[in-house]
Amino acid sequence: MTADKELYGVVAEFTDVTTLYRAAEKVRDAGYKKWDCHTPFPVHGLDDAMGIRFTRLPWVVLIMGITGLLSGMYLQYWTNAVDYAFDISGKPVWSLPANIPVIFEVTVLFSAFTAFFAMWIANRLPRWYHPLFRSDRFARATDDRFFIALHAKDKKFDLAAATALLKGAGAGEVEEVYEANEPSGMPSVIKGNLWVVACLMLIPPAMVYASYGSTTTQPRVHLIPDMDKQDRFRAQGETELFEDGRMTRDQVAGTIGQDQRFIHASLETGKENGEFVTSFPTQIEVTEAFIDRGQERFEIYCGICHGEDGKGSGVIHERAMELANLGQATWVPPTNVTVSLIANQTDGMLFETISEGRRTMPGYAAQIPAEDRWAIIAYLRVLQEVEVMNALSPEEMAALGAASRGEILFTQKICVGCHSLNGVALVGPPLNGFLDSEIKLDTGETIVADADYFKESILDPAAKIREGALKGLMVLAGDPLTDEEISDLLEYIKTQN
Amino acid sequence: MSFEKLNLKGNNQAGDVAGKAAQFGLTLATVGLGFGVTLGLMNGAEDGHTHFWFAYLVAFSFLLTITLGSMFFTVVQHMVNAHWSVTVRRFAELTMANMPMVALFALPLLVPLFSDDVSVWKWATMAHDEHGAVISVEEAGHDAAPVAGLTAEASLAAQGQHAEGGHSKAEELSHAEHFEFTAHKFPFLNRKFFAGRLLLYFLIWIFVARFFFKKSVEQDTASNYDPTLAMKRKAAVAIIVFAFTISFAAFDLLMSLDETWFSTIFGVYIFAGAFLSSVAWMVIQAKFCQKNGLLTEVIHDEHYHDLGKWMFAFTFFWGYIAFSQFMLIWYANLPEETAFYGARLTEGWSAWTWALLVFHLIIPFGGLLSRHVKRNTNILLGWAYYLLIMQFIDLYWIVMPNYHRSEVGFENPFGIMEVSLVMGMFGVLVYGNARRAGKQALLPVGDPLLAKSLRFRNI
Repeated sequence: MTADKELYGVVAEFTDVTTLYRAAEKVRDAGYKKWDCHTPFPVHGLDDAMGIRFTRLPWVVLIMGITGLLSGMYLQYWTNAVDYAFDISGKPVWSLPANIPVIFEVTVLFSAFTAFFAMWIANRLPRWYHPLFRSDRFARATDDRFFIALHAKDKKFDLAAATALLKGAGAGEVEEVYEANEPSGMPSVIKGNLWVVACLMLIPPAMVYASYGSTTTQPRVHLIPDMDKQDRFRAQGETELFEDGRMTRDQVAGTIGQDQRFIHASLETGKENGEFVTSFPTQIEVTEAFIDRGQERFEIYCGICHGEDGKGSGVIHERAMELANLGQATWVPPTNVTVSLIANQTDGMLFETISEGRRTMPGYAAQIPAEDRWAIIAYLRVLQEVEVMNALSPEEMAALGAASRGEILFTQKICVGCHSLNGVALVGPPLNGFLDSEIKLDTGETIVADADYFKESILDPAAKIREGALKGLMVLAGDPLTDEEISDLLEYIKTQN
Repeated sequence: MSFEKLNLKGNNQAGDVAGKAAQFGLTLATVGLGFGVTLGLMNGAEDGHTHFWFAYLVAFSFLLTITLGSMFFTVVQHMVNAHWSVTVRRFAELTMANMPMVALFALPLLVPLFSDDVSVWKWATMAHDEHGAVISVEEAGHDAAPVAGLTAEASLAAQGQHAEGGHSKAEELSHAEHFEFTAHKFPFLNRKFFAGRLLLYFLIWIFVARFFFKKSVEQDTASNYDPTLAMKRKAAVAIIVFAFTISFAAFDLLMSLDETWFSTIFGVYIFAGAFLSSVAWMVIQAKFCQKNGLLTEVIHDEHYHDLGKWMFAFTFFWGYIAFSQFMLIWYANLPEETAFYGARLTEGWSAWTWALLVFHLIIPFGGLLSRHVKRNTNILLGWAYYLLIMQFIDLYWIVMPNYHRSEVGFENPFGIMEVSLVMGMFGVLVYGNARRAGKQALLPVGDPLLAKSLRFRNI
């Protein structure tokens, strides 16, 4: 041992466990703090003899166990009830009994990992090298000898005194141990193996990357075939199990499905005794919050076509008209639902329209619960009321020019629903340039579409049908137009020629 | 193995203390049972004192489960060659040796079983015709035929009627439905077979208890290890027999109170409570002896620590099993299984159910978690008494919702009668142990593992 190496401490050899135990008590009483005993087997009570205080590991484990419990709980709360709420057999999305097993497992996982790794940290593991291994005698610590090692860094440490103390306590040999000069890092064998493992771990992602985006004509490999191809009943499937050979079964007589409710006639259908109801069902209470809900639902479900103001210019309509203008689509424009024609419909009729659909509009009964459909109607009534309040009085109408009145009528009577004024063919013929043009009827004769033809067609659309047009396609909603209204409309159309 | 015998210091013979404890136990048993029986006989004559018999079943189950738990403890120590427990094993042995006396207290249960007036096990009256013969499955099926033909709609309508108060038809229907769901169980659930099974269980238990008790006492004075080795050889078989008998006894005595309900884990549930309460009872006995100057040199903190670990572990095991039973039923949500929890999670009983969760699982779990609690014997004694009370609450919760379950809803009749009966049974337990405690040493002095047990230390 050369003097330039730092002294690690002294190690004393004992031949039996009782002497070691007594010696440990003496070292403890002498006030040493940085020292340790090394025995071939666990000696019960040695930690008391050494004066080691009880480990704080349980507290760490407890805290991490509670953390695991809360994490497991929050994990499931967030995934099941917040981020991706999903109805599983009608149970609440956040339902504790179903979550207990995972909470339990996460708690155990956190506790066990904490106990394991905190023990490593507390014992300063992993440790690749220890100065005591430089003592040849110390090798017998795993066999039949007992050792006490006093650390030179202890405040009380003094080489002569420490040696004397250990000798006095019955140690056979007391040896000085010096730190090694060379760095004590990870052994190169382990380091090399770790590198190999790290490289091997790159292979799977590399294989995935190599085949990313490639195609194959081979059928996919079924690693777990019975999960990929399950014996189960599919809708419209065939089976030999039932006589009629169908997998889809009828509802068992006298039972009610989980999503089926008892039908409250007016609430669910908008009808009572086969007639449309004229007011809201008794279950519905129209409050401000209810109308707000209706607005929200209207803007989600209706606004994309009918427009958020209900006037028929939603984003889908805008886009479809762009395509129609390019001749790439035919399009039935959505109705302006604020006009008096719609306002005059009963609540029940509107409810049926929303539920079942009308013309190209699909039914929304499957998407919107009945209460929300009524809420939409409540909001619709507000939009219509606003339109009435904004409407011109008869005097103001009279003061307008005929063409301006006709323009209002063109919207009010939903002519815009089928006829464009920019030459684009929608359901009906475009009306710009239509007046006084020559048209061919399905009878084969060619006539001029003059003012009289206009008037006749408005009052009786089926009187003269253009060639290729469908009979009865044009319908007039609401009261028949008066002569003044028709002439106003004509004036407006003339301005569009 | 060479034979050697320890010379123990301290007082290991019960002496006067056993006499006093026996006196106390006898007094408690007489007063408790006497008061409970008097209360029971004074009230409820119109339904054959059905309430009393339910309360008696709870108290009897309390006595039986502690006895069975002690038997399991004794046998399992022999099976695994445990050394830590030798100093406290005699307490479990003394408790287990009460089995013949427990069997005596099972005899009164034949009254509700065979009487047509009392309705404790409802299948008992249903399973027999007027001549007492068991109704066959074919006959039962024939009787139940009209019910099978009923549509669910009609059944719903009938239940609706029930809710409105006009329940004559609904009652008829529910009785008939009950019959339909139960008839196929009559070959198993009928009076004679049931009584026969009870007899068999008790014969087996008495045999096992006597064998392990006698051999253990024999070892105290023997000059070789033959008695100990004999116990070790039989222990594994005894454990298997124990597992089957406690499960089926739990099915018979407690689960069949609701003859339509079934749960295969029920026997394990009862076992968990039985073992937990028997360990708590051992702590109480050990502490009692030491307070009276007995066994002061042999039982120390390390043994209490391990008993405390068992109490902690089985508190949680009980909760684990209780939850396992609950969650599968809750998740599947099948009508024939949910009735048990349906009754216990509605109206008056839901508070008891929640209380069970909080006071039988969460609070003792937290309370017994720390090693300092397990090594502080006075606090541990408090927890032992606490867990015995919880065992009673648990059994009460299992049994009592079956009382009055169809006639007036699920009423909770908790009262002085239940308490005095269970106190009486506790007195019986004390008396049984104390009576035998003075007749031999309070620990198995001849056990070859005793020296190791005395040296035993937890890390």
